[in-house]
Amino acid sequence: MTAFIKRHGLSVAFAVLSIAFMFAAWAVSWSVKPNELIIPSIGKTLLQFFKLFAEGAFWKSLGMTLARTLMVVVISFVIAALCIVLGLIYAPFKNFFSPIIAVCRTVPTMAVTLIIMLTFKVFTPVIVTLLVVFPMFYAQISAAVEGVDKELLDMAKVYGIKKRAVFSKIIIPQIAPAIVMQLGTVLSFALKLTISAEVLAYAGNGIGEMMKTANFATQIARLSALTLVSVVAGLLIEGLFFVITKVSFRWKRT
Amino acid sequence: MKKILASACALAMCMGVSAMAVGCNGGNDTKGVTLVEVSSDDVGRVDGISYYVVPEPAATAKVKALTAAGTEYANVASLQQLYGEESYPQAVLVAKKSLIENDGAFVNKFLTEYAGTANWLEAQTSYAEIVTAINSHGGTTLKAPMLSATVVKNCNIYFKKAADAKQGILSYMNSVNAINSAMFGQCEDAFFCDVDSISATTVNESKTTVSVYMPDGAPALSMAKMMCVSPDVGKTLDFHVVAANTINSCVTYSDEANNADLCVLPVNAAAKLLGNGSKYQLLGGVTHGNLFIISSDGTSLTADNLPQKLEGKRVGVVNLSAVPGLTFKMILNKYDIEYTQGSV
Repeated sequence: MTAFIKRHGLSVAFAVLSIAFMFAAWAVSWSVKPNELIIPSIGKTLLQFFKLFAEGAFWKSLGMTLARTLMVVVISFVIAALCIVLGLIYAPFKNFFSPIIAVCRTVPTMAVTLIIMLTFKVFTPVIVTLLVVFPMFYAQISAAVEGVDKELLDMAKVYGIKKRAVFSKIIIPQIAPAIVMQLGTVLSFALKLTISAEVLAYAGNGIGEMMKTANFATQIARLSALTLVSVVAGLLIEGLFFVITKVSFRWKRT
Repeated sequence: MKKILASACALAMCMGVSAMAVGCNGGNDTKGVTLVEVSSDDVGRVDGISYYVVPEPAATAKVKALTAAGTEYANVASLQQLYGEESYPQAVLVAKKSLIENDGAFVNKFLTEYAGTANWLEAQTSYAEIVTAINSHGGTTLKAPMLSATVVKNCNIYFKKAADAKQGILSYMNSVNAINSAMFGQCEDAFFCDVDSISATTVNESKTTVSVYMPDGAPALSMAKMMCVSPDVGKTLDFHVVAANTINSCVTYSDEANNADLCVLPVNAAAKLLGNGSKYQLLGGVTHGNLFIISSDGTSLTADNLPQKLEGKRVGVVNLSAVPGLTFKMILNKYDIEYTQGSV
């Protein structure tokens, strides 16, 4: 314990200070022109926050949102990885995918939301989020692959190691830490996007739908509590992947 | 490490497939009516939707635009008429209790002039001045080409004193609460102001300006006469036309000085936020049912044919989760029409 405090105490203290600062900013904002319908008080928000956990509908909605987020991350990752692999196998494929990735990255999703809604119906939040997350994964995996030690690849060629073995024993272990480290951030970002898409796309069921209902019913403290839920969920996801990275890739540090 | 990664991938795929299966279940249509939430922009553009519930002035604007684009649309029903009973109020005028008690003379003069709004609007032949006046105070949604005598008439703008509107409001409130108790809340007798007994002699000399807030759109039309004619009511009227989704916050500041003196609010928000009558009182109803059903099927919907015409159909509702959706559900309940919520 003492060793932990000595090693990480300052970092933890600053993190706690940062959280305290954000709460203080919230309290100050509320106190400038108190209006529960603009900025609800911290007390009412926290009360609503804990009340949510007693509602069955909340857990169902949270589960649906998390499932959608996970689905979009898995799909995006698989498609991005496939595109990268195809580009590695046959270099011109990389040039083929580049404009597609650029379009996915730059198209304003609001402009295509109706087309997406009519085509993909309840999967609209997934598709809208995929348009943003897929280019992110492509860029990350691409950068990780570019960072693979070229000398190791040359050595594999010299010794005639099979491509399958090169892929599974050299490339994957080299790129895995970078990707897993970013996965938490991407998941957290995808969660935020999915919730926003649920609000816009009338997807039904989900934290976004609960937020919209709370807004219409002028239950702003409840809306604020749901926002807090999504923030906490995002932080928990990032924290989980931080731990996974630390545990899984100890060999990287030696 | 391999095993951890492989297991994590397998678990993720399983959850993904499960989620897809659950997600696919979200769009099942059942018997009765399927209600689908649409945005104003989507009206007329979604395949499979036979009817749309749209508020004026957007309803008439949409009918014109869609017909011009090649699909003949028509206004086939008024929710007000299908509701059948005493008119349901959609927006109401509230005033600070302190204003009513300390400045009764002003409130009386204001209401005397305000009561003439319906006749004044009916007499107008051009709406450019009205739109200019509303937009000069912050409005953005109303455009002169959207307005006509028919549209203005459909907006159902007239002042109904609190005492006369009370029964209609309470009846509407109870019906909506039966569907979703979070939308309306309860209001007490003290909330309804006896307008006829406001003292005509109390004057607050120190208050020279009275702030008047209203949401953009049809409710802003209810103040058009006061903006354009500028009648002498003894004080300067400071009008603010705000985005509809921010109007509620104009009466909920902790510091009363920041709150609107007079405010046009959706009736459910007024009842929910101010219903105890401690800070604000309701002076009267100002808009009464401006929701219409439009369709490419030209047959009018009436009390007699509504269940048959809607059976098995999908109805797009603008703001399904809010008062328009609740009002339509209330009418479906009245006609014993089953409904479920679906997706686009």
